[in-house]
Amino acid sequence: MFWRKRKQSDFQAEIQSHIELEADDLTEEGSALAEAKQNARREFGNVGQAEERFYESNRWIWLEQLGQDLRYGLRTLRHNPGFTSVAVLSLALGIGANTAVFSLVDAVVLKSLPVRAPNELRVLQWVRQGDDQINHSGYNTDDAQTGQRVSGSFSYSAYKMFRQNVPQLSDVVAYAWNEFTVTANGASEIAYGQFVSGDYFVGLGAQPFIGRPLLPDDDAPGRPRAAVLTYRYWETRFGLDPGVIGKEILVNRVPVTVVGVMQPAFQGVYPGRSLDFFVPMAMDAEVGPRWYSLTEPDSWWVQVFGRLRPGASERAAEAALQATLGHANEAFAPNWKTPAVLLRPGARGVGNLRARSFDTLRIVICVVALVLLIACLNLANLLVARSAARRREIAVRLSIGAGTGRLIRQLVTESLLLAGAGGAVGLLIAYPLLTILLRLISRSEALGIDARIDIRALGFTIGASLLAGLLFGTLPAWRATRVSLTPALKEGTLGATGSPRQRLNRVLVSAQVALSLLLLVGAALFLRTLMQLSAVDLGFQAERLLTFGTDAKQSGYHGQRLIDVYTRLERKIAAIPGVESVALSEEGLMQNSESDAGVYVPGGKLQQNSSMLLYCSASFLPTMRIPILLGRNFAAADEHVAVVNQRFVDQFLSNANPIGQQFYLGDGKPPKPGQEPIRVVGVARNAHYTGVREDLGSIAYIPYTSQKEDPYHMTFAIRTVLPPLSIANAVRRAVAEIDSAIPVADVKTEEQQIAENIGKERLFAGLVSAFGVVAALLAAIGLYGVMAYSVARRTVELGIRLALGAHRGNVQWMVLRQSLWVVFFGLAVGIPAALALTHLIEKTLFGVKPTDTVSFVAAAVLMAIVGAIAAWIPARRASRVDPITALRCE
Amino acid sequence: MATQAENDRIVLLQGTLDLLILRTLVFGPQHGQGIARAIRHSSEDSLLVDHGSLYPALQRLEEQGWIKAKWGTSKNNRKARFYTLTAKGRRQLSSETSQWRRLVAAIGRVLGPGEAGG
Repeated sequence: MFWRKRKQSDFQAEIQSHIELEADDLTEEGSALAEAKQNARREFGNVGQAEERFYESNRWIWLEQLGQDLRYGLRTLRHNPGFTSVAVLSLALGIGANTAVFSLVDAVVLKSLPVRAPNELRVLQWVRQGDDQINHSGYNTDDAQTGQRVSGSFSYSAYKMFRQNVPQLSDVVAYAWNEFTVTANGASEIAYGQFVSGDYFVGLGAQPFIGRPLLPDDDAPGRPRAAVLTYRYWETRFGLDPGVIGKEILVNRVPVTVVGVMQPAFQGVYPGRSLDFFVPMAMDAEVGPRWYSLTEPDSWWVQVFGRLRPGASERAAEAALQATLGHANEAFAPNWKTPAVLLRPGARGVGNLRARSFDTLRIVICVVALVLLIACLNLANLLVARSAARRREIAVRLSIGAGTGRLIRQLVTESLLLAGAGGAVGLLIAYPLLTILLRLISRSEALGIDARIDIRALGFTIGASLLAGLLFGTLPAWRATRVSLTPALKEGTLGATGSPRQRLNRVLVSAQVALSLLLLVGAALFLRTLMQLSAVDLGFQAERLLTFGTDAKQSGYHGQRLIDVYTRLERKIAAIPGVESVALSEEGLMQNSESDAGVYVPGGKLQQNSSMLLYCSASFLPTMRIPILLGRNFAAADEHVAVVNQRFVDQFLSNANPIGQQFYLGDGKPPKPGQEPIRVVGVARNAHYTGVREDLGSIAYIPYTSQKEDPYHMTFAIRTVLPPLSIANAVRRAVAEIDSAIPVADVKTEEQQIAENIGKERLFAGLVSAFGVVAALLAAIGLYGVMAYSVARRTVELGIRLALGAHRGNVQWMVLRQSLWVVFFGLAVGIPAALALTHLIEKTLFGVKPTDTVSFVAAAVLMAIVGAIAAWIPARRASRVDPITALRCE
Repeated sequence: MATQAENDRIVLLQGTLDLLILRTLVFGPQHGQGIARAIRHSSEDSLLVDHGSLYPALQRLEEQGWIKAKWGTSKNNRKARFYTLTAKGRRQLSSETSQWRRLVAAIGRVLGPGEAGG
């Protein structure tokens, strides 16, 4: 409607045509032509007036007035550079932070997979009550409340049957995760890959960036082995070299040809987890782990996805799937009750990680939203104060006939201009903020997310700016135009102090103080958490330790040869100058992973339960500086022995001398005939295993050489006399000299590992403190603005007071007292609000109660001090008023 | 234009111009000048349309979607903007007409007989 409006020239043409037509008619009726034309024009009346009426009725005027408003607004803002820069910067910070967090949330939680018709996608899952006898891998969660086990893993044979027997689904595709050793460009590294069914890419409709995707033809035994890379892996490992297509790489020592690279946005169907490449399912026979079987029906390891056909019933599909699964199970477990099969929406991919990251992100979202809210309050406050200063201008404009609506529009336009500028600058700072956020977050989790400032983020920014502009602009604008003209025009600088306008200002400042306090309390709690975490006695010495992970199993070593190659690596690295000793352990310390096993202790305090295990070399405890309190360390050749920690002794062993006591490992039940017991040879001091936040548990340290199965992977920890990272290259060379196919992954110091382990807490502490300080500063600016304005208005009154003999100190205190009341009200609201809200972050805190008095007092005192400083400047100015000048100026 | 006739002319009530325009367009598409003439003729010269009101009224009606406009050629070959009644406009016309009739009847009853001829 608006844009179809006619142009002025079109209307002029119509009038012209009217006059000509009228002249024609008049001529026909008998007038002479010249006369007729004149008559016609006279008949029409005032052409100019008609045109003007047309112009007024036209909505182009709206646009033109908007132009006027914009120009006027820009001029006003330019004339108040201080106000404008504070406003734009505080808004930019709020909007920028929100945009950065939005991009992150969008990538992790909101975005659909970059595939064809994502809404048709369904993830297959099964649900079972209680225990199950299936040996399955994949993502399953036990719901603690219902006792249900939810899993997405199926056997490969069941998957093949699903493809044929469920007419409601099309494009049924499968994939399975695995860790591989990839050798390319002369170096071996651990990489995350997926086995995918042949129609995985075709079925999903995911497009390659270069080359081709894997095709159904690739997924058959005997075909040339092909792999497709993710864009990220192509970037990090191959430097975006297009020559990678056709290149041969080694995957677990087997040559594979790279045929394509996927689009940057495609990270598989499990967003948030880093993924490097895809290989066809059929290659599992050659390079997959033993328990990923393409034939055994009791090995459940593939994750299945499908498309629900348009119009097909989800219930019917589930029933068909369950019946099919029942058939598949009959072959190996006829008495086993078939679990219920469920279809879950798959548009955004699978994964509990999404939900888990969202818990972390939720706190971040709340923080940045609070910052934006505070920025808006601050602006509303400044605008109210400013509109008070502009009273006279507004009164003049109203009295010479400006419409109230037009004035409000003018003021709101100014606010939107500010918001727009804030949004634009915000977008600029959103990019570095997102980079920092990603770096902080990826320290604690390997993220494979495609987070960027894209068109959706841009849309979000525009929306947030508009909303912010209306939020802080409308109320002040409306109030500004409710001026009663006569007093406003007559008014001098002498004004009443308790006017409603000032009250609104104070309420706004108090609200800012309250919200800032929330952030400051949060910051204090997280900082205290971080302090508590760094004060934790880990029980081992983390300084001067270099660690890396490896897995020689995937490079072709098994059984005794595997142990031999690890022993050779240990000796070779120990011989590097600057190395004091080398420790091997199946799990690395502080990596949030652990081995557990059932323990059975004949005659113990607690006979059966589970304990943490750490399979390690004899050099482990001495290298880590974990002291042996009793007995001895085990030796390299020892079998069936263990060193246990104090918690193990307390929990399991009888009160007699722990040395020489025996226990059995397994399912925690009495030993099977012929099972050898494990003898305790020493007791080690308690030390942390999985992370800084763990509760100390019982640990048995057992020689890795005595394990029946090959170690899953191996972490090397190297005690150095030099700065640890300085020998990193020497370590890489040493490993390559033994066998260049053995990967060296995650080279870092143990101190870095610990920092990563508490990465989330560090992120929160940093983020919330930074924003807390910003919020407190904004509140201080707000308070300063209000008090400075109030003092300016009261100059005459203050002058009189001083002239009548008031002490300067008294005057100063009078102003200060007012400000402190404002702060006090803010705190009075903020403290109970914080008390009510902090329990939401209880899980993230450590060693600090959510109602921690120290944190609350510190936050409140800090806020009060900042407030007092902000108020002190105008208070001082008030006390310096020169009575004579003040009285003269009226 | 006879002076006599000018004195007899009636000032249009607000809103009635819209009704008259719509009514005129029932007979087919017409340009602004044609509409003005038609109203004058069919009212036997008692209603003279003020052109300063005619075009804003046409503008208003067009915005309401009761009429639509298109440039065309008049029968004596002049370019003119022709207005056509839309279906919506037709409905509006019938409802406004009956409303008008009721109003006139009601006013007639209030004024009483005898005065009406004046």
